[in-house]
Amino acid sequence: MIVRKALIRHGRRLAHSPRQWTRSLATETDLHDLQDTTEAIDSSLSNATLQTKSIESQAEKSGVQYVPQIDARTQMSQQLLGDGTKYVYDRHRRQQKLQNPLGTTVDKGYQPHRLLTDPPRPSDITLELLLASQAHLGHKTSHWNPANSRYIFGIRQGIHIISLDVTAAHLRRACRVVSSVAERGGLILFVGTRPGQDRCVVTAATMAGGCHLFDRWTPGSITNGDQILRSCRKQVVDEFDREVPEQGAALKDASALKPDLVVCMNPIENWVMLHECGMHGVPTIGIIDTDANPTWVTYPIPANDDSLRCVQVIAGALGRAGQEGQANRREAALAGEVTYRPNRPKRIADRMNASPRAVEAATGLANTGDSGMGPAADGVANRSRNSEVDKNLGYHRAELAS
Amino acid sequence: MKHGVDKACSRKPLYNPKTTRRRLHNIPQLVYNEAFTNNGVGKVFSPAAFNVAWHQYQGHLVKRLNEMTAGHPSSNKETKEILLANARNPNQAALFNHASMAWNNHHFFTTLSPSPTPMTDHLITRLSGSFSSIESFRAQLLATAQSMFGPGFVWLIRNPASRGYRGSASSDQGNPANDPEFTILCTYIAGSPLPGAHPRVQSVDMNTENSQSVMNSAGAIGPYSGNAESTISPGRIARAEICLGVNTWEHCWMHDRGVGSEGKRAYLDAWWDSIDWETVERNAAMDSYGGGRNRLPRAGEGLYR
Repeated sequence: MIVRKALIRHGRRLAHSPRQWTRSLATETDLHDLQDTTEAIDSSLSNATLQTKSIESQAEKSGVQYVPQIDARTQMSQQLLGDGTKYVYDRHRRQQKLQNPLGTTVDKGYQPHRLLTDPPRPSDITLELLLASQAHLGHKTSHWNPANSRYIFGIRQGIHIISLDVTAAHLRRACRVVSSVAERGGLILFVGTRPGQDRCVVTAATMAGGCHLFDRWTPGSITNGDQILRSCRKQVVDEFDREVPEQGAALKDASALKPDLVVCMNPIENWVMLHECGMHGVPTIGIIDTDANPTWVTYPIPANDDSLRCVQVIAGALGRAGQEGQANRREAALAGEVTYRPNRPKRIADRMNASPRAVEAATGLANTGDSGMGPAADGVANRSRNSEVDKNLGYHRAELAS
Repeated sequence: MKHGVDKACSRKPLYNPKTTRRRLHNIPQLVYNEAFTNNGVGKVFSPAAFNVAWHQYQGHLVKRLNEMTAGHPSSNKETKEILLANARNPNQAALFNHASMAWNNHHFFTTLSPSPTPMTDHLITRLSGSFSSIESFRAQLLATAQSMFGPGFVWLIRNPASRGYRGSASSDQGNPANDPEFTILCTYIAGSPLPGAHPRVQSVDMNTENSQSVMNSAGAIGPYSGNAESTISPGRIARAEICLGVNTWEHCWMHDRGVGSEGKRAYLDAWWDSIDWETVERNAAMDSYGGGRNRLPRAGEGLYR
């Protein structure tokens, strides 16, 4: 490029001879001559431009055009590989990695993205973590729901303060529920419809092997699932999460799935979904702020649902709990033990006859259709509100017919 | 106005960042921490001496670093960043000193091992190229450390831009005596061997050396300087690989061997036998690397597994 510019610069001088200029400057000019000389200057300038362009093209033709070859494996220019630039740079980076951490270990503190890339585990739940995540901040005292009085520590600066030891206890219980359901092959739905909650909800669902929802809940997805979710794909999997294709034909008239557990980050906005879950016996976990109704969910977690950091901590802990449950289930499957009761797909007609308040074992709600689903078991298992979760929920994956 | 100022000063603040702030700097964890704490380091340090030289002294440096960096927006910088940023700032000399000492002390202990590995042939060849033999290298290194008066460090530096580095050890042309691959650098008190902190390298005893009135570096670089094949562009700080260092501060050897220079000599002799040469080669970028470091992630190695 530098060479090219030099040629252009010199090219302009070379394009027209200097004698022409000196002649026009030195001699006396009259009007006629002036016009001639200006025309000559114009033409010489335009000539120069043309010649400049031709000089450019000549420079391109005469010089050796080096097009850097790209190495197929490393996707790098051969020039950098050949002259050792990459090697030297790699060495330098290695040395920096050895030298930089020497001296002291620096505590990095709070990094917001780590709540999504490396969420805290149930064992990492501490009062300090919850306090730092603003989980204790409730709403204005005049906006409270008196049913939450058992969770409230006191009042400060006009807002209710939630007891963090109560929060921690409820969160640990919820983690236990999630891991138990996941261990028994249950389908868990993570719901968070406020702006910014999508990433943590997807993260938690991925870890727990469940489904996520961060847009609006379509009312009737459980009560009228056969209509609303009829186009969702269903599949039957075995204990190793492998799809069982032989059962595909039977799924044609299979009813829609319901989740075995629903985790909701903002229950106030999703009251319709929680109501449907209550009608169909799907247990729910929810973050209950001081203005929310704790009876809307089965396992409330009294915490601040307005703080995104708090929601990410809670969703992360529940996701990690689901991850543990999935790992236990896979481990048991490798050892030959199936942690759930196998079942067959339930037909739509059968389901319509069943009582809506009865618990349907082996149900799941298909939002993405990627996890294994098996519709309800034959027969109806009655479940009282006080019975333990692990007895009746979660077995929705059909075992491979041997 | 004065009364108001006095009142403001006498009122105790509710939150004092210097005392209530979370400590950002912590003592780094040595690989052989447990072995060293229980059994000492070979014949170099007894357990009590190691406690003084590492736990107590590094803890002191960490505490002072926390105090000095408390409340500053750059308080989460790593130690090396701190010392490089303050090497030219005489107002922050104390901060540089503590950061540099923390870096030097940690580097010193990373090269020690309870079961040290011997030198590889490759390292022996390259060192012999610079020092004519391993025995003379050892003698030169320990003599330099012995002759330093007062506290300091002695380092083995490998210079990638030297002519000795580029040439092979066998040919004399490629390894001239005036530009060897390996050099010995001593840093007095809290001087730093890092090239980026060269204003504070403190490689000479200022009490005995004449201070240079004119720092003239004309002719040092360029096509007509001695190193015509230098690949360093003007003004750029050369890289150096800091391979090995020995801590000659008195608190390291005084505890076991007394204050005399015989004690220092015995300490240095014992230190030579505890050097882990595999770590030294890794610091010198002479080990075979890349076997597993640059591998692609395996299938199924997802984010949440």
